[in-house]
Amino acid sequence: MPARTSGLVWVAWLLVVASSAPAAQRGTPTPATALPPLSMTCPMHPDVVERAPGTCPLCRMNLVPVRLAAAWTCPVHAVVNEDGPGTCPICGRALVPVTVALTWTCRGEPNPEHLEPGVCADGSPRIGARTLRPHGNHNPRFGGQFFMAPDNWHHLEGTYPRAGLFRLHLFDDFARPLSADKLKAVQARVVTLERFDAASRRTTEITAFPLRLAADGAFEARVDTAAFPAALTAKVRFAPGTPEYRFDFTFTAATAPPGPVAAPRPRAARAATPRRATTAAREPRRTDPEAPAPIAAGTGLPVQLVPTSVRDILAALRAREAEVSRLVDAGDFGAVWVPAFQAKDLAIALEAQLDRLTPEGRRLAEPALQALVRAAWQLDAVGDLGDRQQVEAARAAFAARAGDVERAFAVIP
Amino acid sequence: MKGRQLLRPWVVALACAAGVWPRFVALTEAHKPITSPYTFTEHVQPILREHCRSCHRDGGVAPMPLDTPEQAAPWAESIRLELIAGHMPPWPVEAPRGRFHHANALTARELDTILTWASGGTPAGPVPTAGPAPATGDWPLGTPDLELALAPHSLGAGAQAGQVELAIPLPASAPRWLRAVDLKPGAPEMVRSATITVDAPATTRRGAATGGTRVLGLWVPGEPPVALPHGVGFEVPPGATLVVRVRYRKTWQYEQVSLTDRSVIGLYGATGAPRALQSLQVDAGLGVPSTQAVDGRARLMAVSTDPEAPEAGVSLTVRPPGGPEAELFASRPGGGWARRYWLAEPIVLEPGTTVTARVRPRSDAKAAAGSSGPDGSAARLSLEFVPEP
Repeated sequence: MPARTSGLVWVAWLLVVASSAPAAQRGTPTPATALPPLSMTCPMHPDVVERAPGTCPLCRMNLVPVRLAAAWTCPVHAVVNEDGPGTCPICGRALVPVTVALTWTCRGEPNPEHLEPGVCADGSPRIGARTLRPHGNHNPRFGGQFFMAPDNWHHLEGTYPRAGLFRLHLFDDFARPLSADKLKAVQARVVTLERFDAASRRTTEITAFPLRLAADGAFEARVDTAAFPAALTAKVRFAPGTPEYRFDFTFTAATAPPGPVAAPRPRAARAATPRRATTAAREPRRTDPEAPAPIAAGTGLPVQLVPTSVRDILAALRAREAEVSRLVDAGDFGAVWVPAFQAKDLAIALEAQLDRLTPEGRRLAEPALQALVRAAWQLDAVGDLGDRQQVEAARAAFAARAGDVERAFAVIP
Repeated sequence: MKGRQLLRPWVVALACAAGVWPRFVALTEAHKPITSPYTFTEHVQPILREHCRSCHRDGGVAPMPLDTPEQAAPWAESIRLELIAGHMPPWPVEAPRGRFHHANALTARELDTILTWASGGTPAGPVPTAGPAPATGDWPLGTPDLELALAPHSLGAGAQAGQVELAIPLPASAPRWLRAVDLKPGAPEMVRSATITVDAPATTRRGAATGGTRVLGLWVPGEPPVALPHGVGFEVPPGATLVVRVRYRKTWQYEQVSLTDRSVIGLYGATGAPRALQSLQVDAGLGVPSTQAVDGRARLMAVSTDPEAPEAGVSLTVRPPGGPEAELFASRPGGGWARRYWLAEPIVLEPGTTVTARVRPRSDAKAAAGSSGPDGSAARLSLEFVPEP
């Protein structure tokens, strides 16, 4: 896709969008031969997505068809909706990936929505629409740190626009701001100092500040933390009688509005690390050393070239482990999956070298490799949730297994 | 994307203004939500057949078959969680492939393949050309020499779990030496595990300390029994009683459904005049390792975990006289299944060899398992060996 398109194009396109699709983002119907496959989803639980017809495992309702696709949008201008990475034509920010449902309608007849392109009764082609899916956008809107609540429905973003001010933005499963009535039911505070007793496994809050609803719909509190990095824990009960969740934020600097830097992928779009080149000869040439690594198609994961020698793989593994630790220490939990997944690919590459180990080395290495892969997936799973204890535990398991792998393979030159 | 690059901005602008933008962008291909490069039939199914199908098949003990993409895809999220937690496949031992019979650990690549498929849209893949999954026989070792049907046991609609202990006097025709014992569940959807022991006639079960009770088999679903090699056997004294403790737990489909089990025990006789498989018990507590010395030369055949305390993660090390200590066995919290882990290649222990059992600290064992399950604070291992001349 071209990096930039003229403003005229986008103005014209937005006019088309605005005139025909007030409720959804209009855009790119795809020819029947290139349509994404149909999936089945629950009308009441849209995060349930299955491949075959059936009933919802949560409520037993019959599943209904949906056609899912990935799209790229601006973190600030949600109207921008592209089919690949790039920059926002309005503000120049890097686009971020989201998951959308594709539907087609006819002008003036929003219902029914069709799942494929076609021709309307008046002979005009059906108009394509992209509708954001639940969990389709886990990208921070305000440059802060974005987490998903363990209830799998609420999302939140913490920001620290200046020393002493913490703000918390709450969203639903579509990353839309919570409605006013839901905001009123929220009870939240931010903790700046607490003590954990390992014996009783209880945490005692020393200093906490109530989070109060501000005029713009965010919660905010003035806190006693002044220096960076600022570690703050938001404890949120989204409605009376529901569990209280904790979200650990670490700000290494004052939060700035999002700039042209790619944000973490949406949870729904995370998936496979594709097979990739295993020899240096196949490494794509990067002419600009400052440019970000290319993104593997369909995954959002920066392309990683797996070295061929064990020594180099171990060195790369150490680097990934260090990056995981750096991100965890920085509280950037949502980005931890990237080095974690790169590390698991390195572990899989090492598995091909098991025959070079002694039986005792294999005894150490085989379970360590498997456990390292599992730990990487665990980091991916808990990174979204923002609970530092969970992330730290996953990091510890990851680091321990990376150490086991290194010890087992260190004997190979 | 290439098609998109052919469009000049002014062409696109005119198209948009004319309301025909969709026709142009239709030249591009949308990103598919299915991002897994691995498909069920090509990549996932072979792994599931090897590691999961003994339970996850029609009529199996697991609550869902996983033979086809239609059967497996609805369970993708559950599969993902179970794998990440290390609960499945239920093989809690960290050891290289080939050390134990019927080891059911996934390789790193196998684990990643399934997780990628489960997280990446569960693509079905091409219609398989191979035939249906092979049928699983009732008795993996063949027809037993003696079958003993247990008395029926029911779990009523309101009961979800239970256990029963049945004593069966062995008939005079029972083999004096056994090479294997197996159990064929009558109601696989509720038989969780079983411990099969033999009581010598002069003792009672309460008198186990006298050595009158011998564990013959630790049955868990989906794991075929291992037959002792020629020349080794379990001794069954004349007049002995077979004691079978069966643990029941219904799978979720049978909640509020009454089920009745009538399992059958199969005994396989050993030929010739075998040497008896003996057992050395090693107990350890958290922070309190236990060391036992081997008196004479012995061939270590298997390590068993305690049927009554299977949750603890434990490590077992062996130190030959004057030699370094080496870990033989390390288990994570066991998920409620006691097992006998049969060494594929028995290990000869020289006289004076010491074996040490240690309960793994919570952090180690749970970190390895990625588990949040219950802790174990004590472990009891049995070393199954044959004295060597």
